[in-house]
Amino acid sequence: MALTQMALDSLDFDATVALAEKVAPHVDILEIGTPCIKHNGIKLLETLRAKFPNNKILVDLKTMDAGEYEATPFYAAGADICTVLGTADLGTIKGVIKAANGYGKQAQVDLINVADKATRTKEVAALGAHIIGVHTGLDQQAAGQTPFADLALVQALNLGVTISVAGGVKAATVKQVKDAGAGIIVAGAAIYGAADPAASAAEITALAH
Amino acid sequence: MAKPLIQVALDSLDYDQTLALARQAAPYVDIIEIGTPCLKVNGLALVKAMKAAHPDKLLFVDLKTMDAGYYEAEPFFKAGADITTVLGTADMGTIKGVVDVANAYGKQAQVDLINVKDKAKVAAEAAKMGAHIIGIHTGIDQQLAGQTPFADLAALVAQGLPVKISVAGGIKQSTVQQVVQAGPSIVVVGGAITGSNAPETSSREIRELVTSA
Repeated sequence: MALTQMALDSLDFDATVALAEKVAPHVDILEIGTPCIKHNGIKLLETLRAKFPNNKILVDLKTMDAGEYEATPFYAAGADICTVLGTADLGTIKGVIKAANGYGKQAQVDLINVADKATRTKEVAALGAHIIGVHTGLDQQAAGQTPFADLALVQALNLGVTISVAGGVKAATVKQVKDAGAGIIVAGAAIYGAADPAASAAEITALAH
Repeated sequence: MAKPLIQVALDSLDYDQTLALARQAAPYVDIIEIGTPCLKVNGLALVKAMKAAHPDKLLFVDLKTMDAGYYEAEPFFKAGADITTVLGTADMGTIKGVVDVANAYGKQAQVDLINVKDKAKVAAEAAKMGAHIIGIHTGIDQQLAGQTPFADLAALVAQGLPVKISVAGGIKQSTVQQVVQAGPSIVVVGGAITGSNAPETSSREIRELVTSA
């Protein structure tokens, strides 16, 4: 069984809350995407936290520096998972893990654009990272890339860390991703681009669970 | 040699305190920076408020973009940012997106070399792509581990790329003249101003030291 995560990537505050209202009953984790959090700030997290007590919330901070300082206010405001970039200094990654542990929450290391993914995954697992994010970015998807090969690579390391997979996953590929060892499956466009986002979210979650 | 511009980095998380610090530093600096943690907590509203309060200063928004370059940066240029940053560890497609959107608004994109392994290579690629500014940046977590930006700055200046060079990483009164002499276009000062008991006095001191360097 894999958890499902809905990536909220609109920039508009009200549109983000409205979409979350539609999909929240049908997914496990609500993600506030990076452009969305930079646009709207911590107030959006506070709003979603109050409205959706039954969902976990991931804030895609993609922290690159000042790890503990940057992540702490978001855990304090109710984030369950914050992300830190795999291309960051290990001191930064350590800081986010420390902040997460201080609140009994989780830190996710995003492998987006990391050159040596195996080495970095081992390093951050040793630091105590809770989740490894295999992530083919939007700009990389536009260039035709997918996350499947990287998922197989990280899974083969067999480190016992939860693996999250993001990068154009849709209903047709959910089962493949789950069988390949993903613990969390992220869907964005496949849900918000659907005519009926709630139905699409329910379909993806049924396949993942 | 032309004197570099002075940039104050505002890294408080508090909205009102950030605006108050900007007011104190503004008379002595050229560029006001909204730092990454500050931006993530306060959002675009702070960018608009800062631009309205300081229309005569360049406004720098330290987005540290890692993906979706054009999409993420565009609203900030629209809201009055003069410079936004994109990470040197990002995909070149992401860097190109931020450069393109900066050009579309007649503004500037800065590539931040924080934690980039092969800095000379990424700087050359980013310059070729049209990046306006390359940032040498020793991060907070790296400063805590004892690192400084001086060697990287000298190497990038020596590369002779047709870009402006910005330098950040714990620069203070005792080191700012050494940094200026290395020849950057922009010198970033954070804690030496914002962590001071008298931010206005510290800003003036930095300005005087840059002028007399």
